[in-house]
Amino acid sequence: MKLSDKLQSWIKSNPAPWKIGQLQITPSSGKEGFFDLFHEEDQGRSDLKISEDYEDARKWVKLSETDEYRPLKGEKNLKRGWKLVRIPFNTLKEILDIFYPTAVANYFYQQDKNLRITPPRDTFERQSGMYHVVKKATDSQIQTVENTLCQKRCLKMRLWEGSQYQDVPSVIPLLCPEVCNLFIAGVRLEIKGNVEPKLEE
Amino acid sequence: MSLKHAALILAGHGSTLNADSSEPTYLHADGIRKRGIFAEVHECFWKEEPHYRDVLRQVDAKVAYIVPLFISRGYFTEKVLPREFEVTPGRSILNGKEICYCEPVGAHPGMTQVLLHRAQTVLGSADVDLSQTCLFIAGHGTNLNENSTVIIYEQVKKISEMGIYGECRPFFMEQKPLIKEWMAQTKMPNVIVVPFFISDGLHSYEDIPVMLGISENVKATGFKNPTEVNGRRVWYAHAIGTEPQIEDVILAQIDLFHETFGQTTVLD
Repeated sequence: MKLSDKLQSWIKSNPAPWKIGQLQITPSSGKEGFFDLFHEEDQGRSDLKISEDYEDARKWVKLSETDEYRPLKGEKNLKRGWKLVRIPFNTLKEILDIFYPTAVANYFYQQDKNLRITPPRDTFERQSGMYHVVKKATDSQIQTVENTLCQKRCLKMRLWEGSQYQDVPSVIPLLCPEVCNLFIAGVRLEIKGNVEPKLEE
Repeated sequence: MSLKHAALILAGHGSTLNADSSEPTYLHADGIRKRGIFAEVHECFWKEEPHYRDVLRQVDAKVAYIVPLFISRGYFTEKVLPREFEVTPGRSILNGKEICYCEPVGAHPGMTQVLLHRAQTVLGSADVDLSQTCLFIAGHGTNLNENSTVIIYEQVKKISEMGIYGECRPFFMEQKPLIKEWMAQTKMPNVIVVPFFISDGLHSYEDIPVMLGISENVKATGFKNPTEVNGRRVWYAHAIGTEPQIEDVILAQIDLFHETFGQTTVLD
């Protein structure tokens, strides 16, 4: 079954509104099979910038409310003040992939018990070049990055450290099956004494 | 052959520091998406999400072509991407999907036409005697980018042999011939510079114009085309990776993949 078919079936069997990360999804009023998307904290606001063009989502995920760059899409600083309206189902998954890349896929892979979970040490072991050094990371250095990056900034549930999630109706969880490149870069900086790398290899 | 059943995965580098670094990847993915050639088009990155490691989970199609949006073969295209995607050059079967790992964009012979087009575009309608013009192709030029240096020299040779410009020369930020010494490298009164970089990042957009002497601070004052420097006119183009014709090179890399490894085998 295609991911978009799985998403459609999930929407049918879970009552609106639906939620993923900081996004809330509701059926468009008077237009069956179409959806509105907005920041969950913007519910009820009447001064939102309205768009039907899903490509606007790219601009909104790029910078935070304070115009800081958001390379970590799971970060709890999604821009507010906008509303995507009358989005047809055939572009809904594409839009969710823009806001939260691979989140929909991860969820259905996990439902099918096909989501591979990789322990951090395994991820570190395959690194090379300037990240080769993370193989030497201590538990304490890993914990520091988990505290400062994952716990403080990211909404994703860390399956790689053994977190178990409870399925909540109408919520697509943000699952993290493996530490990301930002995590690896953070561990490298911990080992190197927090000296910024010159090159972004 | 039809690619209607297949997915295109465009693999860029991305950045955790520069919000514009991934723009060319999105630009070309969108351009190809609008052509309706593939069932799906996905972007992915080393430093941004979705990561190389994860993107294949988003793919429904049974066949996926990975095209690296990199300027040359090297550490990333030969080591990092195959490792993270868990593929080998040519075809790999992963979870019942056929994954076709193509050569990087910058290594395709079609880049010569893209360079010439970009050079012509930056000149616009200016009245310029091309026989009195030097086309410089700019690269980074360190050991890390050894292969991109080789590609630049190859492109310079090809373009020189075409005889369109009075001269075609390479120069680099961090190795000789140096960009900042360009005035000693050509006597031509007109100079066009095309940066052989993927994105208009720190190097190509901010550093090189200063080295050329066409701006003291690009962020503060920008630069105009042409700028007169010591009686010579200098035109500076955007990074080659931002050229819309790169879309055709991406598709050409898939054609080249078929020529090298044959047609798709899983579905046909």
